[in-house]
Amino acid sequence: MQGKIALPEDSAGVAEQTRHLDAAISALNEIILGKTVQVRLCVACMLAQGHLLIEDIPGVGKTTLAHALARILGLSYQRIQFTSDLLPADITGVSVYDRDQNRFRFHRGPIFSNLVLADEVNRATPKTQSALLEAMEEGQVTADGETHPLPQPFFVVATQNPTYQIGTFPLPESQLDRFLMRIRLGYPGPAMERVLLKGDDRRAMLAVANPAITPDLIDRLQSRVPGIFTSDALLDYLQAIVRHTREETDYESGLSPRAAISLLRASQAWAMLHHRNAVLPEDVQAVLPAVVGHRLRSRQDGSVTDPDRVARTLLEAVPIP
Amino acid sequence: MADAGSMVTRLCWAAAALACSALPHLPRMPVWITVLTLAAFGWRLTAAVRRWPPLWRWLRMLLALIVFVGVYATYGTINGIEAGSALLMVMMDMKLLETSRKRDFQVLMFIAYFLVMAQLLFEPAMWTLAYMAVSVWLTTVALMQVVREERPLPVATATRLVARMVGLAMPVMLLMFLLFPRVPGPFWSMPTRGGAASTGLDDEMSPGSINALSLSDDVAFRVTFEGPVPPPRQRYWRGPVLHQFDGATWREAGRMPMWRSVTEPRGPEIRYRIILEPHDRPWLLALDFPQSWTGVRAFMTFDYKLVARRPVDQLTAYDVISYPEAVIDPEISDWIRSWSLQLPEGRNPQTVDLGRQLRRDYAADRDLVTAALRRFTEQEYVYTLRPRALIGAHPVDEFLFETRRGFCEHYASAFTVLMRAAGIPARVVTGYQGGHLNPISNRLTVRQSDAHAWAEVWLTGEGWVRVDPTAAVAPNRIELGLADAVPASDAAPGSILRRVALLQRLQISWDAIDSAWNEWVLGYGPDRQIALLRSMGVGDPDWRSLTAAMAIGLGIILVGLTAWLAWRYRPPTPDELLRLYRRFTDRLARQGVRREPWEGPQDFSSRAAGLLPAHAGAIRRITTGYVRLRYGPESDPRELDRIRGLLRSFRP
Repeated sequence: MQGKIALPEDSAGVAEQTRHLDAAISALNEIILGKTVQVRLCVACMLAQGHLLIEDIPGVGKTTLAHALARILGLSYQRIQFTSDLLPADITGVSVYDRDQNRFRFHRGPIFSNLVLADEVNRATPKTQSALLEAMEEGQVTADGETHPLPQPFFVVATQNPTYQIGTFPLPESQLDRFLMRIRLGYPGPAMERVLLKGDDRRAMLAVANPAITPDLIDRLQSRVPGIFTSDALLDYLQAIVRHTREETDYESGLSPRAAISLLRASQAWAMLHHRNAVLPEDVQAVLPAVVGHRLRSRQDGSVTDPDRVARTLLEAVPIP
Repeated sequence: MADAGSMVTRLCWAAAALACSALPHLPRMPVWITVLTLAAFGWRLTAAVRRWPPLWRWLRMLLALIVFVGVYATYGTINGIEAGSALLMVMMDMKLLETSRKRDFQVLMFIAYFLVMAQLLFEPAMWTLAYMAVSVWLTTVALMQVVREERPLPVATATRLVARMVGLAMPVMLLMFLLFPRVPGPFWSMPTRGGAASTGLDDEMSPGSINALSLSDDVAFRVTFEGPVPPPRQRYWRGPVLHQFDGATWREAGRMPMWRSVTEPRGPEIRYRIILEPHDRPWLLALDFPQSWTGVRAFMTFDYKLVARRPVDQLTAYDVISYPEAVIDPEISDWIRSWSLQLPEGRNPQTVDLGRQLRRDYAADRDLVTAALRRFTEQEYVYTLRPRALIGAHPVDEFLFETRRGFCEHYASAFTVLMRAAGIPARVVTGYQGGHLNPISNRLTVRQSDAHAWAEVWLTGEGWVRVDPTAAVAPNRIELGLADAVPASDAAPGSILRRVALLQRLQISWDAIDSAWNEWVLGYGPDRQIALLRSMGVGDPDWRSLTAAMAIGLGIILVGLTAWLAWRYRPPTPDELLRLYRRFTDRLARQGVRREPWEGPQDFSSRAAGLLPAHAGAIRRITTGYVRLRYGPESDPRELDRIRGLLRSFRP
């Protein structure tokens, strides 16, 4: 359902820009079949200047999604395949002695891209993982006392295999919090799978796909997200959700203030995707599973449970004030 | 205003408003104006539908010139209300031809307002006001529609808006009506309707002239008595007094000098106020015999008739004191005597012979009068609304000896001729007799059908004495009124009404309303204004204090209205919004569509709209309004009203 709250008249430019977003999303949906919600969440995550964790078994299209995102959004793209012997410098870059100039020169690593796909991030050692997460958090790389800013926009899509696979280092909870959203792709529906089987190779389609939007525009849209109006009534609702996770005994720990901010930003980005200039409770509800799923631990089984179920339970427990 | 569809819609609105305002004028105007108006409407609408270009400018100019000349040719002037409203009408047609922009539409609608006001100059009656209210409403709605940039409002919304606008303007209007300084004199009176005929007594009387009036149910005047209402037999309202007789027709004493009489007070007095409908003649009606009068500039002629300085062309109110027992003219001059004995040579010889015969039989004047009246009661004379036509050269003879069927003028005329032939000075007095007492307003209404004629004879020592031969023939005419005096086969006005109690009560109520309207609205002149202000404690109001009072009053009203509007449109408190939304969800819950406490308003709206498709529109609109106010950045106070309004009619 489309929100029908009209944008104020002075933001006609915003309406124009969000139309580009529509084009981008429909282009993505042509490549990533039957995953409209996930695609929207991806774009919202990017608009909210957060980073995305895709968690699923191999072969459901995680890499294709990341690649398609980069392609359609017109972002420079680097893929880093995480392995157990990957070193931090393999990500961030290394300083090499330049004999001619008689000094060290920094060689930028693959992280210096707009969109970085950190494939199978849980196969690397925690040390290497930390290097990535630090770069994500700070938006810059420090090597030998020198600071190198990462390009803008900067968007990390990390994929992770479910933890029960052998030879993996699952991200600790504290690190999971660095990702704005975690989504799952899941199997495609039978109809979509049939289209997938009959249709062209997705990679071939990617090669010919044209960008629907420019990094410059993304930058501007990103800067507008925090300006999407949030009424007191909405903040009441958002805080009620957060308070509920802290006060109820179902969860091992409640949502952090950072999680609350993340929830707000994601909701604002979601509202912008729907051409609204104000956030509705429905926006919060739409992004809630992706934003809090990996941050909440149910006390019953002690594991990170199905994000949709956690979010559902949480939603239905908190009335909209 | 670009697309043709919206232009047609706008034109239809404008045309409806103009038609409503122009309609009452059309019967008054020459046919060519009606034709022109229809043609202008037809052309403009067709042009809008077919997207024809506007007429050439020079052609429009030429047309305007032609119709202007046409009006001048028809009326011989462009002044006065007849020609003026005709001019307004043709200018409306010309404007309609070139109407395309918003400003043109505005001008058209203002012309419509003027036409509505012009209607009031012709017929300031209450039904006119009711019709005007409809016209003003329609014109205002149309004005709102034609100046809108967006698509037209729904009629219900526009109606409500206009009702509110008029409601807000009402106190200002009332205040200005009460306090706007009124200046006595012709400045405020309506321009005279040149030649427009109105019913009423004439200054001459021939067989059938009063009979014609008896069919009219129009009000002649209304009377409020200060004391008890005199009985019907005393209610002789004196009008023109007729002296000159040519054998068929009675006329006023044309060449009489302007000599005025004075009534010496004698016996009890009757004080009353008359509100006289305009009849375009100068005389005023009064009970016998008026002694003093106020409220109108008038004098009393030698035959005790009140005459105003100007023809009564507007509703006129005046107070009179009459002495019914006064003795008038105990002595008369020779020339009055000779005027009162005048008879045309060779006309009505049988009647003249009868008069001379009576003189021979009776020495005393009193006895003679009684004997003459006895003739009417003892012989077979019939009082009827349908006398046979008197066509011969001697109509009085014809009536007195052959047909013997007559109306009051026949009896008055025959009796006066008899008296004159017998040598008793006599004259015919016309006026009204009786009147209907309205039990609600305790006011007497005298209609044209109450017109009457009687005789006056001069008796030595007694002066002029009223003799009503009709009373001898048909006493009921005097005691009960016309409808009860004539045979049932004669249709008298109101005779059917009088038989149906409910209708009669309705008529009485309407009469009371109408006379109140006359007295308090149309008759609200400078003296009433001053009286009102005096009663409110303003000592001696002049136009300066009136203007000041009006300005202060207007200021108070405007400040009050502003404050009220500010309060009305204050930003909504969240509590109120939530309460409205709860009412909305409660109503849906009663239909089994229950909102989960965690369910977002838009999700709930689409779920409810899906379950109750008949109300999908209202559900969406209410939700949109709620969401805007609760979660949106700007808070439009009208939104809350809109929700309230939607909710009022939301009955799933």
